Amino acid sequence: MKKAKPMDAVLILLFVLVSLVPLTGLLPRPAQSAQIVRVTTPEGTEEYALDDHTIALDSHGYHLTLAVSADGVQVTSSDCPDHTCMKTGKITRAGNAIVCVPAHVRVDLVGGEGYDGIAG
Amino acid sequence: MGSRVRWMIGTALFCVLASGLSYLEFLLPINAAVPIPGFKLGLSNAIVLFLLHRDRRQAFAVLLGKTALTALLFGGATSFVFSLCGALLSFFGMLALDFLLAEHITDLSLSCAGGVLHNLGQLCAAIAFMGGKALLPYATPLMLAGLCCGAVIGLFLNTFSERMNGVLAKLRF
Repeated sequence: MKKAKPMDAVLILLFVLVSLVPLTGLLPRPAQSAQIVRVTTPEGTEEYALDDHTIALDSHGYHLTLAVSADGVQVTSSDCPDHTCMKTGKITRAGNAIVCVPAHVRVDLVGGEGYDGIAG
Repeated sequence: MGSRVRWMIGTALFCVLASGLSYLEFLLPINAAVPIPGFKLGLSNAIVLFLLHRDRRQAFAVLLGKTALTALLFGGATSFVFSLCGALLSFFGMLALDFLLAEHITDLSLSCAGGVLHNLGQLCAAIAFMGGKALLPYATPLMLAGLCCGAVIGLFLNTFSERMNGVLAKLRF
């Protein structure tokens, strides 16, 4: 049986720090009010207004239904194997996205020119 | 039996063993316990890391074999590309660490490196495939989960790899 060496602990600590690096990419993001739903499929990109309607998508052999409302969008049904897109739930903020890898679909909420506030 | 034939049989057996471990993972409801998309325990990495110390060429052959076999049996083209990116990054990362620091580290940190790099490679492939930053929130949980699973596998190898080598020596592999 081999015992762990001090260098193991140093490396593991290093890996923990490296794992935390992607978080920094998430922090400085100003909140924006979402205005448009952008749906990207292998066939192209479509944009929809944020009002109450549903969107039926056929992509890469799968069928997805998106429910759009004034405050966000969610995938309400999908016949993809893992349903990760449905489990993501409703996204409500600009910059958030729902991704369905099996269907090659990506749903983004895009903000307008909204600012938190303007100083001066 | 020629040594080349013995090598090929050994490689095939280890491929099947690694794929069997992947199947075991596939059966366990892990995603219910850890709800991170793309998260896997990486049990089969134990085989690759174990072989890395014995025969690097065989370890690489098993890595490619089990990735292809697992994708053929349980996944598809997309999961094959993702797995392959993760597997290659993790293999060469572990190889480099083993080459540079072999005297100072054990399988514990090698396995942790493998776990983190595997998930990082998969994520990079997914980001290249899907584009944008949408997958960035998954990066930290995925890499930390890879680290934890890698640690468990590393401790297992630290404890049992000598005994496993003994058994294989008896079987003349």
